[in-house]
Amino acid sequence: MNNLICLNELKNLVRERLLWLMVAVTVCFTALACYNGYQWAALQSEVISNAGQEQQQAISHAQQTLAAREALTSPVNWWDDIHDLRGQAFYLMVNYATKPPLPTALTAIGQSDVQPYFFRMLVSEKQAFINQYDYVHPLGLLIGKFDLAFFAIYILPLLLISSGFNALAQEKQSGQLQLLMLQGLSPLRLLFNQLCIRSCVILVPFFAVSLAALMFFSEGITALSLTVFIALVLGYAAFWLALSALVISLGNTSAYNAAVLTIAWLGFVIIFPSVLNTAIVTANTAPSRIEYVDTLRDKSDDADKASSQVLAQFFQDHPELAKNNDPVKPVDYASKKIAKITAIETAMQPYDDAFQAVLMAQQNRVEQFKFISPATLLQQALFDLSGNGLKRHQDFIEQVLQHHQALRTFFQRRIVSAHQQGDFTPCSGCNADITLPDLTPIPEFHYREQAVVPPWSSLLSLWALAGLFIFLAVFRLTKMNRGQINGALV
Amino acid sequence: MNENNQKKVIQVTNLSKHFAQYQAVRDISFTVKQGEILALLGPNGAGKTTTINCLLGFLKPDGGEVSIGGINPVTDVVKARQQLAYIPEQVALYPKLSGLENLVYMSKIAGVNKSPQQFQQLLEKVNLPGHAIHKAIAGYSKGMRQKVGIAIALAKNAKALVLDEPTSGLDPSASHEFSQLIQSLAQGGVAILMATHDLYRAQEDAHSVAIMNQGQLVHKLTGNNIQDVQLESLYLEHVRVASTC
Repeated sequence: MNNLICLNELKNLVRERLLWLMVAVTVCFTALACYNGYQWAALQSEVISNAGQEQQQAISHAQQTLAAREALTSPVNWWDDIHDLRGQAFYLMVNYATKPPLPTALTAIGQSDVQPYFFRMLVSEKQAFINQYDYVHPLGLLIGKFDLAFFAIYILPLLLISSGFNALAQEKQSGQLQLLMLQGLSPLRLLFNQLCIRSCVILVPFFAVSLAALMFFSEGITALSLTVFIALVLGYAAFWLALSALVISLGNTSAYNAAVLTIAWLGFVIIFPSVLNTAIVTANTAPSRIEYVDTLRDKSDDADKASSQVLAQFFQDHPELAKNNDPVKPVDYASKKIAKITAIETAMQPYDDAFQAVLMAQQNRVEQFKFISPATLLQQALFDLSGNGLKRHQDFIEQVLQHHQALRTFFQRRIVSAHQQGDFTPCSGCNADITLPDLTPIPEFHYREQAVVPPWSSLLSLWALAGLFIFLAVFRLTKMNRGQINGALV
Repeated sequence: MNENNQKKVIQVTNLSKHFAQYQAVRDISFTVKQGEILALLGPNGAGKTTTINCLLGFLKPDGGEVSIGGINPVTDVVKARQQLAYIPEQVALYPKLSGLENLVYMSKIAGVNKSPQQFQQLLEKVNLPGHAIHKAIAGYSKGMRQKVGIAIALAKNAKALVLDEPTSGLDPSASHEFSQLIQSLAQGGVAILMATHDLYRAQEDAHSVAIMNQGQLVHKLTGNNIQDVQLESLYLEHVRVASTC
């Protein structure tokens, strides 16, 4: 009987020409979303690839020009000299820390357009580079990117609602339901089949286009990632279909169902997440960025003013560098700069910690309350699955800071040592010695990918919510079939 | 046919139904036997449609019992509905499907398996014009839709047929044609309950007449009595009396 009902439903949809419209809209939107996601992921890959090439070219260039530099007799400024430790450390180094996109990246651009996915590394205070990339166009922040996640979270429920709101209700209003029930068809079976067919009209083209795009454009994507993506979107769709079924089972008119479902969409997709965001940001307000930048400048000025104290403190903290230090020999610019960088970072650490603490508190609250809406559940899960979520970004930043530390250790040891050996001023008026003939020993960044843990809790929650609504709808429709709800059928 | 041997197909016993404070049906009882046509008369709001909805299992009675072919729709709604066919005032079918497609779909839902030719023959049997069989229902007149409704009932081989204002809005010739169709169904042994305002059609077609007013069954006529009385006067008398009370 299910086949018969589905066939009849399909026939009606085809004759109303609604089927082709819905298929066309879904295919076009999904294709556009895939294209946007692919473009962004491709751009990231290209940028990262270029960065890698630039880094290798810099190493080669240093090797090729070494002989010329050795033969050079004309004056050269150390800050222009790629074979000088100081020039490399503070100005010339081509060393990138990059976060490559995952094969699933095209599913959700997420916050990757706001959060940096590459850093050009120098020996400087971490505050100077870690926060320098967060200038984005405010319109981009407002509307986000039209990717598969955007389509799934915002558009898909609307399409499901618009196709399903009049299921059963139309039959009830026009009188076919009574006739069908007298032929032995239950409202539950009719509604189930109608919603299945109507959702298939949207979900089949969506999955056909998106999975084809993922398999074609995303090299190395795993079966597990694809399965999780399908299960997440299906769970979210099941939630909206179950909610539609529950609203329809109340036995009201199509117009009433449409109004209630639209309000539910507004609530779950727009209002609840916005209220949640506002509440979290209000409860855990991040310190002002302007104040932060002002403080950074102040601390920098303080470090300049107290340069001798700063230097003394630096050598106190690094006695291994101080042991050969000649108190008569004037301290060079590079050592002072490293000492200043260390002093600024130390002074700024409490502010960084406070900022991090607020971010963590916000993130914990989001984790706690994401269950308030299926939209937030799906968003978090898809962002994490695509590798463009906050967790992977935080992990990247951790690794960037470790790399930054490794670079500083590499350079500060050699700079202090070179200074102590007099390599920077071998004689009065002559060029500094070559202190970095080969760039290959400079630490390179290699992103260590953490194992992607499928978002089981979000998946389970979406299906549990759908299950709850399905249970309530089945209960109502069974009562309706038995005539136990006055006014539901007549 | 011997009246005593006829099986009671539709049985209504002390049926009551109320909606909030409003008592729609009060303690009514009647039966419709195999091959009998019972006309249920009454003004708007008399409780005719509520009674029908209780029979169809669309409303649960507050008191009393109903049964179709011995099956109570409250306890076994599926089996009770298998015995029934229903033709409402407006036969609602899928407007984008043809008469034949609607008949095939509705019948197959009820588990009726016939060949396309057999379904077409059913439509011809109810005098649906040949040119209309493959046309979309949206272009059908009310009379043509009702014919499809009767074809559905015929295909289902229902023991009881419930009609709600079947001739309202039909022209005299369509009404006459419809009357002949239900007469032939009754002769085939189908018990027919027809709620109507059409006193002429009731007097012409029905074997029994029951007059309802304000949820109560206020008068019953059977057999030859129907032809002998001035039905209109009797109807008005009961409706007025009840209204004054």
